[in-house]
Amino acid sequence: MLLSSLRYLLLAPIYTAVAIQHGTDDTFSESLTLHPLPDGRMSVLFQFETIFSSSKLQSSTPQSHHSLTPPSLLLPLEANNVSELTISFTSGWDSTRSSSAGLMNYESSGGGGEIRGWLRDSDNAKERWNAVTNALGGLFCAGLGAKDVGDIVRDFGGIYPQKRFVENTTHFLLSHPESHLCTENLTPFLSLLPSKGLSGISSLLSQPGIIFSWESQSEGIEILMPSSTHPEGRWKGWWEGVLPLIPENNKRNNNNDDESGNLSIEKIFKKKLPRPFPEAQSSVLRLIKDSPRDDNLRANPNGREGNEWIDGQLRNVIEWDLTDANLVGKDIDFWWDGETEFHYPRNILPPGISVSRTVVDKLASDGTFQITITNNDDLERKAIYSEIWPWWVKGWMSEIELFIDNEKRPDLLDNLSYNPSTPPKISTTTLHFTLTIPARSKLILKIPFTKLTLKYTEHRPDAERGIELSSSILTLLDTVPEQSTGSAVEDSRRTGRKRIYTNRLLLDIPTPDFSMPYNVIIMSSTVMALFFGLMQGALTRKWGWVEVKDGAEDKKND
Amino acid sequence: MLSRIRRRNAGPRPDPKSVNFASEHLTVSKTIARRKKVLGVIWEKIPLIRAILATAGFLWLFAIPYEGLWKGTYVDEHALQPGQVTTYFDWGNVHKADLYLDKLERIVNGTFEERSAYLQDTFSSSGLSTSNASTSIYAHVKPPRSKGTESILVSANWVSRDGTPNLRGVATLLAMGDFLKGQNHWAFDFILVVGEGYMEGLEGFMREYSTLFNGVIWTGLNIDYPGHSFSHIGLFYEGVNGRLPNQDILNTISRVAQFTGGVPTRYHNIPDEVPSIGPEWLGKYLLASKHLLSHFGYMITGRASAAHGVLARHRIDSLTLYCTPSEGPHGFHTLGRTLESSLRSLNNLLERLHASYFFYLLPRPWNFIPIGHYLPSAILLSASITIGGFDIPNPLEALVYVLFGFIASFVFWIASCHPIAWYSFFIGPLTLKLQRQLRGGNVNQIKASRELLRSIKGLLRLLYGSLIATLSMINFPQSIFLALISLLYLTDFPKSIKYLILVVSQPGLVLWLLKYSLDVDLDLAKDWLELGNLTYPLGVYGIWGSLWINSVLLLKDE
Repeated sequence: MLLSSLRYLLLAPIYTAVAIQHGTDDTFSESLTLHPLPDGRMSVLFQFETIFSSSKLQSSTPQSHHSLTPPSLLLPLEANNVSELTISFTSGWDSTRSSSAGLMNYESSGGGGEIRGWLRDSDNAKERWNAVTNALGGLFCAGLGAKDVGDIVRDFGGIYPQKRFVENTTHFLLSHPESHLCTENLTPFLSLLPSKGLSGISSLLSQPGIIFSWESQSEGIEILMPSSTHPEGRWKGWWEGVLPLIPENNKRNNNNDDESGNLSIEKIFKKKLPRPFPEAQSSVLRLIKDSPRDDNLRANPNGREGNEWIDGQLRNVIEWDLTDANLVGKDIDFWWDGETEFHYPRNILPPGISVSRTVVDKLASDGTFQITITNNDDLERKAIYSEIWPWWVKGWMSEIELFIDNEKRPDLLDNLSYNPSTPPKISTTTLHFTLTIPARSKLILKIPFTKLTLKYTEHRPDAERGIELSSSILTLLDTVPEQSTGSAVEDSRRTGRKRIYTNRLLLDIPTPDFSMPYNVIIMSSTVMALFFGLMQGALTRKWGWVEVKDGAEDKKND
Repeated sequence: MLSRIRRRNAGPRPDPKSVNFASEHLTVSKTIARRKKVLGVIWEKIPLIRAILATAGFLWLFAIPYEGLWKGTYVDEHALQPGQVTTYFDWGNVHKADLYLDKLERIVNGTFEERSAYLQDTFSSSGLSTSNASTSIYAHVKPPRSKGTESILVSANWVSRDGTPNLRGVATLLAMGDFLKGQNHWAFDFILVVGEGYMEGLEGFMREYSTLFNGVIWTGLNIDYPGHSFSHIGLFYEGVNGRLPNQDILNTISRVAQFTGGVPTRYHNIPDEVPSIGPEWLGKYLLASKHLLSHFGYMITGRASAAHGVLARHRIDSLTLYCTPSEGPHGFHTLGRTLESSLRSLNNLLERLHASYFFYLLPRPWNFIPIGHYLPSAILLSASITIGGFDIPNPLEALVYVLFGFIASFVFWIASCHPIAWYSFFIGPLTLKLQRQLRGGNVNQIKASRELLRSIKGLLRLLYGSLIATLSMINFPQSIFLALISLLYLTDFPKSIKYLILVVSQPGLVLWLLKYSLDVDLDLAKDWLELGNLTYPLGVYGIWGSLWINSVLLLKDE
């Protein structure tokens, strides 16, 4: 007791100095969003956001101070002159079973791991990019660094424009389609948060046993670094997943008397509402209701209701302020009024635009990518479809075809930007198709390709599995901000979702039988031995004439 | 070393009278003479060597069913871990299957649309995405943790291999769809298919698969449950074109059925009962012969033994679980648990099954004959034929002649004539003499003609001998069949016997007998058109037919 008081006493001048210099302008806010999906599942999104100013102290010696921001995250970015950075791990999204084209968080990538960002220009931008990826890969327990310099993609700046314009910057992107979102990612994520998973919403997240049974998970961070023009930095972290609400017997037990059957916060998280994180400026629980499907969705205690444009639709949103002391330790119940049994819908309304990619005409060495872009709206849309291929995928660019209803429509391709790889050096091929997607149509893009032969050492472990291709991206060019005013209730262009991702693809590649190296060694050794034996014989033998008594007619060399 | 190479130029030829001027020359001269003598003896004894090799080959072939050449089966891919899981398929699921069956029995004679509507409604009410292709109805199970890049196919077709409706198979599939939904320990997607007909529907589905789905199918199971109850599960494993699934699939499912389901397995519905004839080894020998003959029947004709066979062409390791109709004691419960546990094993795979475990003979459940134990018989037979082809005095002229047989067969194929039409070669004017005349040769040069006949025969032996050796690796039964045919056609029997052999073993006649007279419903032409079985175009026309035509022409010229 005495010792700790003494410490305060001794260090008091330093604390006050920090407080004065740094001020209290760092703010932290968090939210938890719930959104029921049409087929008896629910999207859950955790979001944590910190606004901060530069952590550099105005002193003669280089030092920095962090109160709400994680130094392990910001210091590498600062040191390497990063302007913006986004990392995300996603396990995928199934747009056929929900009416939305992607995850609730618009910044999540398609599938696997992805790191992308803007670096301020200088001579060694590439080295600095590698330094950042390696530093943060260590942070996330997942190799984020490039296996080869050639894996880095640099022409996706147009697809991922800067959030805050900074001059003289370059965009870098590195895709890891094979990466998983796994339990090792949760602890580092929580450690970046000021609340560390101990209080506030983050304490609901710090339960790997619950979180990791969810579907379509996505985790990510986005950092905008402070600069001379923008003194405020922002870092955002999110974690999203989809959980099933329907137990095996298809009963949504809505009987309010039977407390065990209710859908509630405690049912979902096995915890009551947590005590708030003291530093949090806001802590909000949001429930998004789709009309008319969830019009009968009720909550108790009820929160503040309002309407908001979310992803192309005006939706009813209920909000609870979790800093409210009355809610701490309580539970919120949800139920669908008047519904006793849940029936899976026969058809689920598809999202306005959806994309899928498959490989048709499969052969061991060749195939054709078939990309189907479905526009379910009465509007013609403009979009860029982008692909990233590893060097061993070689597209036949002159044979690309566009179809609508089996009819060739080359006129729908407005522009094609093609940056081929340069094998055998490891590099990527990138393609950007600028397309017009007519209203109420199904546009089919066919790209024939050949798989080049991989060398023995270029096969990854588990070679017989095949190699994954990153999700391709459809970037919509005609979206308007969600905040803008309008009279309609539904307008699929009024969304913050500018990018729609396809699934990942697993490509079978011609693979030698790695499990039988000994046969190969034995065979090749035998061939080598025979070859050298013959050579040895030919070189050491003495050549001359010999007369053979029996066969007098043909003399033989030996 | 350089000096030694230089010594090759032995200088001007010495005087013949003093060639062997040193003792070394004499030794070498003797060696050469001895070598020539040995070669001469071998050359003379070639017919004897051929006979010995052929006899050894046949002895080996007849030894294959003997127990001494067998091995006990084992699971090579450790990831499979058959039967190591707790199963959850329970009486509740059995009850659902019973309800589905009840409804199916009422629509069994309905149209495709009626059945499609019922199946899709059922799958959909279990919360699955479902639709239909032109000849099949399918559902897609997407477990929460699955990436969607790899899939397992489970199918049940309307018609069982007995020709009766496979209602219980379809009911099991519907119950599995309901059961698999929402379980989160699966890493694979499941594709559930109900094909029309016996295998046409599934074949049609596979042709459309790649445009509908983006996942890669690694393994497949086909359910065939025609009866009321069953006593055994019969495993049918031969695919189209004699492609076998990886043996690990068979081993896994036998183990799962035995230890999880508690039901013994059989191969091909052959009872695993040793007949009590003579000593025990003889009984086992006869039982194994029965198994192998049944296997040879499918493999020689390249036909699939059950509906799973159409998956073989798409690189899917699959088999059919045939529930042998009986009074009991097993039903939905056993089958469901066997399927669940088998799927759990397949779900463990991180790579395709790829160890060289694709070539085997199965003499009895729990036993197999590895390739090293059966291959020598085919190699010995092929060696016996090949050795007969070393004597080719006029290779080029013979090649032109032999090509004629192939071209003639090809012309018949193009003109789509039944092979029975080849009998016309017995009466046709196309003989060697005429051919030579057409090309302006001297007809009366009997000696040259005899030499040519020898060359033709030699070339055919060389060609077919090497073909047998190559084929024996990928389709052992077919290579044995070809070896028998080649031995019959290319051995120097008396002319009358040869005539008899050629008339009786005419490919067209054999096919015709198999199709109409011998109660075997074998239509290879239909198999080729509908299922892509290559035996008809390649085996019958390309290989057997041209050999037969060439043999007939040879016989007429002798």
